Amino acid sequence: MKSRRTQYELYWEILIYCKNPRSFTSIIHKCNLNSKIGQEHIDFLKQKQYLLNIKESNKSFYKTSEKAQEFITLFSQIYRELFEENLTLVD
Amino acid sequence: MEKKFNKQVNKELLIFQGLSVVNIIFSAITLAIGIVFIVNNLFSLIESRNLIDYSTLYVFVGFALAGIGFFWILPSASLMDFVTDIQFKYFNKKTELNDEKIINLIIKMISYYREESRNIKRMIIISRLGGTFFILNGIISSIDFYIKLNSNLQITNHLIQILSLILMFSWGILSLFIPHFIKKFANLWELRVKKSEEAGVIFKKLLESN
Repeated sequence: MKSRRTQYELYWEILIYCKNPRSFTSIIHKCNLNSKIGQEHIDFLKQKQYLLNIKESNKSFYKTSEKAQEFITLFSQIYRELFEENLTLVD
Repeated sequence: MEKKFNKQVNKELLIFQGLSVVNIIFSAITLAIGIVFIVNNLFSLIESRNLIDYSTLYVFVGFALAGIGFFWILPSASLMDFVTDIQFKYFNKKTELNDEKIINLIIKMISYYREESRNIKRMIIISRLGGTFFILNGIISSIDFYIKLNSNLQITNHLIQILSLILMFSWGILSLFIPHFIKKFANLWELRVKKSEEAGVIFKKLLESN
């Protein structure tokens, strides 16, 4: 299925997926990203402290921080409204 | 939220599915009629070796119909594929739609429309073109039929020709009607895509404030 997501939609997908610690490979696989773009987004989210880097038995994982909740909540609220609004157009 | 959303998405998917099915049927019919026109009239054209004949016109009409049918079937099948994919992934009995899955589905639908809006617009244009061609062809066939009425053709031939004319006009009118429904939904999705892009400003502000 072809699709074109905005960077914010990608951030939301990454943050939701990383509610449980995830490896870099599983993030890019699940969010359907190439490694370069995936790394850029993860670096950005790390810089914003929305993603935390966790080391477990020599392996690196990413986990969504508490701070990211503000973005997740705002995003979910706006996207829900986006769908519910203007339904009269098709009724 | 969940029930309302399920109802709304199902309604939209159902209409999109209906539209894609109708579009696939019409594009296949258009393609098939085009091929029949080409095959039937090309042979009689070769036999008669006379280019100034109805057969020449029908061959051109046939090529036009076959072309329209071919380019019409691709976006229709893509839309059908998307709708069935969403129905399979999100609306089977095993899947429970929670808030995250709902937002995820909204993202999928918006991003699909962002990617495919050109094709959907093309479907609208080609649908209208197809409808116009069917009606034009109906008019040409009516003239041809009127001319042949003066000759001594059997009544069964007349009935078949009248039936085919009715079908042709009905297809034409329906093909012009379909884009009306697609456009209604395309406008709604256009608005959603636009609003999702406007929402980017709010997200940017939030991210910059951190």
